[in-house]
Amino acid sequence: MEKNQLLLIVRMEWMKTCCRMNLFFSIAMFMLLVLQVGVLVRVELSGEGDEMMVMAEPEIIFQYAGRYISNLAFTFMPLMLLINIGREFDFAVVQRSLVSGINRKEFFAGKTFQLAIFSMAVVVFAIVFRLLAAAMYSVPVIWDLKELVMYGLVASCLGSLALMVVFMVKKRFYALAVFMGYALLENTFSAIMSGRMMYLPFQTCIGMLRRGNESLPDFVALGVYTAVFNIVAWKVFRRSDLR
Amino acid sequence: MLTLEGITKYFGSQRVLTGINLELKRGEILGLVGPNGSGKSTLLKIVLGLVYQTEGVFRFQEGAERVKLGALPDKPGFFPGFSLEKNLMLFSGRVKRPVFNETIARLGLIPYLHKKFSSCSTGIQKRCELAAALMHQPELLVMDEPISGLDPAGVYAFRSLMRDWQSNNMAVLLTDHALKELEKICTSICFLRKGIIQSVVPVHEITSKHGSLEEAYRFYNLKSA
Repeated sequence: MEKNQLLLIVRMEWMKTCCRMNLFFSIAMFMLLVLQVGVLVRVELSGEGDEMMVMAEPEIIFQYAGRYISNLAFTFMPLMLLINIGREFDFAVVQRSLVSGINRKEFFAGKTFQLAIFSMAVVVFAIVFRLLAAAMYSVPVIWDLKELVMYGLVASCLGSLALMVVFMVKKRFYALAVFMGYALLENTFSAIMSGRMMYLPFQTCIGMLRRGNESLPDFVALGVYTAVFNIVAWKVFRRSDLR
Repeated sequence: MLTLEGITKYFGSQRVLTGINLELKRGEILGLVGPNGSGKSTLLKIVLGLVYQTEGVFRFQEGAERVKLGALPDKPGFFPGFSLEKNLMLFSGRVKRPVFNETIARLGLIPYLHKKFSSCSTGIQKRCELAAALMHQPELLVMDEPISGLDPAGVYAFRSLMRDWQSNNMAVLLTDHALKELEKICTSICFLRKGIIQSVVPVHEITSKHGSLEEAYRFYNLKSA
C-alpha cells in the first residue's frame, strides 16, 4: 500500500471516529461504565460484610482502579468498535467507501487501524488512571509493563472478535446479539466445566484481568486469537457480496 | 471502455443474471431498463465490484485493470447524523478543493452544507450522492435510479451534467424507471428481463421504430413474457 493511500485511510478513519465520538456520547457511555463498576464494588464489599468501607467511596474506587480499566478494556472498547463498524454496514457506508477509490484491502486496513487506536486508548487510560491515583493519594506510581501490555492485548483480542463478528454478520444489532450471545455461551460452558482453565477468548481475558499474575501462555493465547480473528474477518470480507 | 462477457450470478440457488454480454463505449450513455427483480441493480453492483459474479468476466478499457469509477448506488451510503459537508469530505479522498467547491456549487448544495444528511429532503440527499459520484471526475459513471426523488430543477441540472459528461467522452451506465427521462438522456437502452438481456437498441432506433421508450418497453416485455 502506498504511503499516500495509507495516510488517506488513516485520515478517513480518524474523521469517522472523531465525528462519532462526540463529547456527550462519550461522557454518557463512560458514566454508564462508572456506574456499573460502582455497583459492582458496592455489591462485592457488602457481600464481605464490610459496610463501613462502602461509605468511603473515593478511596475504594481508587483501590479498585484496576477494575475500571478492566471493564473499559473488557466491554467498552470492543462494543464501541462493533457499533462503529456495524453502523457503516447499516448505512451502506462500506459500499460508498469502496466505490470512492479505496479497495477492500485498504478499507479493512482502516478498521484494523481503528482497532489499534482503541486498544492503545485502553493502555493510555490505564496510565492516566495510575497517575491520577498517585497524585490524589500521594502514593508512588508502580509501573508494571506486563500489566499494561495485558490491557492492550485484552482490548485487541476482544476488539478483533467484535471485528470478526461484524464483518460476518454485517448488521449492527445482529452483530451485537451474536457477540453477547457468544460471551454468554462461553461463560456457561466454562461454568459447566467447573472453571477449569480453558484458553477460550473471554475466559482467558477474565482470568488475566482477575488474577493479576499473567502467564506466558495467556499472552500467547490472546496474541493467537487476535491474529486468527483478524485473518478470518479479512477472508470473509474479501470474498463477500455487499448487497 | 467496459466489456461484460457471459456474466452469470447466483444468490444461493437463485439465478439472478444469465450470460450477460454487454459493451459500453466512450461517450455512450447506456440505460438499463426492466421490471423489478430483473437484475439491473445486481449488474451495476458487479461492475462496481460490490458483488462478485459467479461466472463470466468483465474488462475495462484495453490494458487498464480499473478505470476511475463514479457511483451512485441504490443506498445513499452516508452517515445520517453527519452534515453534508462532513459526509462529502469523508468520501472526497484526494479531490482538490477547487473541484470539490465547483461540484457542490454546480449541484446547488452550498446552502445545505451544514445541515444534517438525515434532515435534508430526498432531492438534496440525491444531489449530495451525485456530488460524491462526480467530484472524482470519473471515466465511467454507474448510477442506480439517479432521477427518482429529484425535483424538476434537479432533473434539469442532472440532464445538463449528463450532456457535459457525454461531450467529455465519458461513459455512463444507469438504470431508472423514469422512461421518459431516460429517453432524453441515454444514447442506447438495454432491455433486461429475468436476468436475461432482451435487446440493446440505440435510442434513435427506438423512437423511429416504436415511437417512444414506453412503447418499446411494453413491446420487449410482452415479447419475452
